[in-house]
Amino acid sequence: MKPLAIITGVGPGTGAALVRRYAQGGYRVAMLARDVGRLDELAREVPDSFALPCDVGDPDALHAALDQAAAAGGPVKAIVHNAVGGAFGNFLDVDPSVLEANFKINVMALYHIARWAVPHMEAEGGSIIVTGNTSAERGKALFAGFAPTKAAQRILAESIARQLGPKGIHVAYLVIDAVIDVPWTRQRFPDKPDDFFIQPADIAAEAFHVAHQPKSAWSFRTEIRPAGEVW
Amino acid sequence: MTIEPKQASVAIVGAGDYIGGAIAKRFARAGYLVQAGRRNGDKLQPLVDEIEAEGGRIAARGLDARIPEDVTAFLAEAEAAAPLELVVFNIGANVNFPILETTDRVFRKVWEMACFSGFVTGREAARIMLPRQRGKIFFTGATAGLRGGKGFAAFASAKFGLRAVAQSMARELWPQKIHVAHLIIDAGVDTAFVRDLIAKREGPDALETLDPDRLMPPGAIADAYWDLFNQPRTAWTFEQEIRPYGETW
Repeated sequence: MKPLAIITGVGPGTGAALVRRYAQGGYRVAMLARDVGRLDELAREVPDSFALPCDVGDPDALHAALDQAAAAGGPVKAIVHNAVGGAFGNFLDVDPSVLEANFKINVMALYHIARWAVPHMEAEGGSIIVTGNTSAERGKALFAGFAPTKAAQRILAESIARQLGPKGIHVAYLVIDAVIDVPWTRQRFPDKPDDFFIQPADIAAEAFHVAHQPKSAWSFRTEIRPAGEVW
Repeated sequence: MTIEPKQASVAIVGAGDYIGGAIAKRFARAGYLVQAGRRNGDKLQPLVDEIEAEGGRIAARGLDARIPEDVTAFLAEAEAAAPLELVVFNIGANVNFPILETTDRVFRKVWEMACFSGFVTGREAARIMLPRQRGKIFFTGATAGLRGGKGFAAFASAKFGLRAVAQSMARELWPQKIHVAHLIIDAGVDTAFVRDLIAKREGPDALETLDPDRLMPPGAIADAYWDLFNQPRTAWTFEQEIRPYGETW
């Protein structure tokens, strides 16, 4: 039976690329996201993938989806928490409820997912990859509604990684320090060359690579950026 | 622009018995001409024999990386044989002394070996690679480059310094298409020295029952370098840390 990968935040960019990469890597893929239409399209395109529409910020809905995935899909071997709630702007303008909502998606969902995953993974091992960016490592002006939740997410992943590593469950945090090549960023940066952007497929390749490192050489924090990125 | 492995060289500064040797073998297997240097050139013969027995190509010689002219000559020899695609700086200097026993001499020597040599290697590699805007320069790092543990004033300050060299070089050279990276090895590497230490501290039976994934095989480090080497330019890593799954960190 194929191992099961559960991927949250399956949008048309990174999420879809992750689904394709894990499917190509021999997994059955459970896709969690809110947009049913997109998920159904992907489910038709990617063999052995199935859609579980849900709002990961809602713990009950999340648990229901996870249980459904496990029931339908085979041994849970891989999880990628790619769902993200973001906010950009002067914190005097960003409503407090936005920060709380982002905390639910970025931090609490990961907490729920990891707690759910352990009984499934502790026998045979597995991987939990969390995608992030430099907001997890510094708070720039205009990111106050977002960065604190990514920093908390990274630290949460770190705590979990230190505890689960010795149990054979590989938890890792992937810092994507880049503008991702998707239609809205191409519109936002119309004059930038192709190699200014990172490809969703590159992100998926790195996530998959880290998730499958040999047990004698695991990474927790991993970072990728285009060669021209200022950092 | 594609350069076939057969037409390119990979230089390893500090091609020791374990990590350095594993890196040499990995790239030799991929078809690259390996240029290996270490302080005691005689100790390179087993590596040469092993690589050549497998049909690989290697040039090896004694190298004192603390001497800039020697590093320059070593890299020039590699470049003359085939264009340098990768230079790996792999010299360590792991010593531990209480602060009052850390002499001026020890501090300077450790710095020279683990930091200054790295700076020289990096600079001279960059000098060769910049004109063609192509190539990779990798530095072997340690957690001592991020954290000064007790007794490591000399070692950690050198590794912090090496990390700074690597970071500065990366920020400058990445836009010029040269991939500079720093690989942090947070592990007991599977060497005779480490095994002896385990036997001493945990009793001789400890080696019989050793978890196969507790120590890091040198090959895992070579593989990590190989993966960094093959990253696309739109998704480069500067710093990667690797550790065995059970490692306390």
